[in-house]
Amino acid sequence: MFGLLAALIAVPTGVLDWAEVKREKPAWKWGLYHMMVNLIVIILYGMNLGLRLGSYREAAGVGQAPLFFSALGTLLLLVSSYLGGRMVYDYGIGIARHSKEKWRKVAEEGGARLPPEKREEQA
Amino acid sequence: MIKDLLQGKPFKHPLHPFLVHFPVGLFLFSLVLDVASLIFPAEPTLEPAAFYSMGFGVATALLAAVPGFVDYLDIRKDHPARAKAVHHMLLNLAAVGLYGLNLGLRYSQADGQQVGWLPFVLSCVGVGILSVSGYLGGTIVYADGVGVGRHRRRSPGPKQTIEIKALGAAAPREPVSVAKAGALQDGETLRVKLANVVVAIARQGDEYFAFQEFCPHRYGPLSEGKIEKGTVECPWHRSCFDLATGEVKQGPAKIGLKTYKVTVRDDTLWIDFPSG
Repeated sequence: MFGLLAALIAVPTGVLDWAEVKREKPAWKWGLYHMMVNLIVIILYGMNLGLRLGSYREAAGVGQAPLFFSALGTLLLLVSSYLGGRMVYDYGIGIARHSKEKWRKVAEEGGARLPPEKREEQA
Repeated sequence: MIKDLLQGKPFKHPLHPFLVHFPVGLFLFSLVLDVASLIFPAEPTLEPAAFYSMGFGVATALLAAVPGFVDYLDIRKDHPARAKAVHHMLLNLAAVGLYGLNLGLRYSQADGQQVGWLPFVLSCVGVGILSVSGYLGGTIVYADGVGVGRHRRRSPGPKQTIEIKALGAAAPREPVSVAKAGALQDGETLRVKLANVVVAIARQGDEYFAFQEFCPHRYGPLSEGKIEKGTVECPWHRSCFDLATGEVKQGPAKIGLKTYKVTVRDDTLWIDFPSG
């Protein structure tokens, strides 16, 4: 339940990050798959929660169906988090988005040739 | 190689930021269970569940610490993120130490009752420390770009910037000797700072190239880039530049690099820094 709540809070930030990725970049597709798998996971956990709702006070141990849903959910989460991680560490999405002013100053001091200061750039 | 594995290079993703989700989630959930045990005192399962969640938290935290430390060792010695990483590590060690203590306290009184005030306060402090240190760790990635694109580079990056101060206030008009040519293997780079000017020097085959350190896109560190087929690729967003001319071979960067002339004389690299 707390997992689902926290997941729903994380959704809008993810969608906004994705909206900044340009359509023609490979990371756009990665983001799309990452989002779709996450949505499936949320739905699975929602169903899982529904299945457990009736019987969570009984000490009978977890039933087969909820256990299967949880295993599947965990597996899918691993897949989608790997996709999300690759977007950051391989494609640099979100890297230096907030720190680019700081790095620009460092680069200016370092005598680098730089583009004229201008509008927001996107990675 | 074990180090490459611990840095996650085969997965194109560092291991430490993947593994930390387990301790962070488990420690946080342990506190959630504590709060629940305070709200529902008649529920006997909550307090032991908080104990086990914390136990797995400590175990996975120790697991995550190993690749984290290996990542730290590869940050350039004069990189601003290096000090941040030390703080991140010290805070994490403090948090794990507190959770170890917390576990010990709980173990001696795990009786299905409500959580005691001392273990509860320790958990609150633990989550507080983790939040600060997690944020620090995040800025090391998102602001300083540590670990980003690192797996594409085959050779180790420069350990330290070579600082050449001296030569008076005026920029030199003579070439400056910066390093022994033998210090650089094929595909490796140096990072050199003369007065304020920061330059990356790369070797490909038997040729040496010097160009500005900062990528003109988001100012990523080109001395940590991949040197291949006569180009350097920025580790952050894969902008690609010609080593000899500095021109853009592939975006997102739109303008080319400033390049410097390198000569090898007496097994020493000399660079022409433009005056003014």
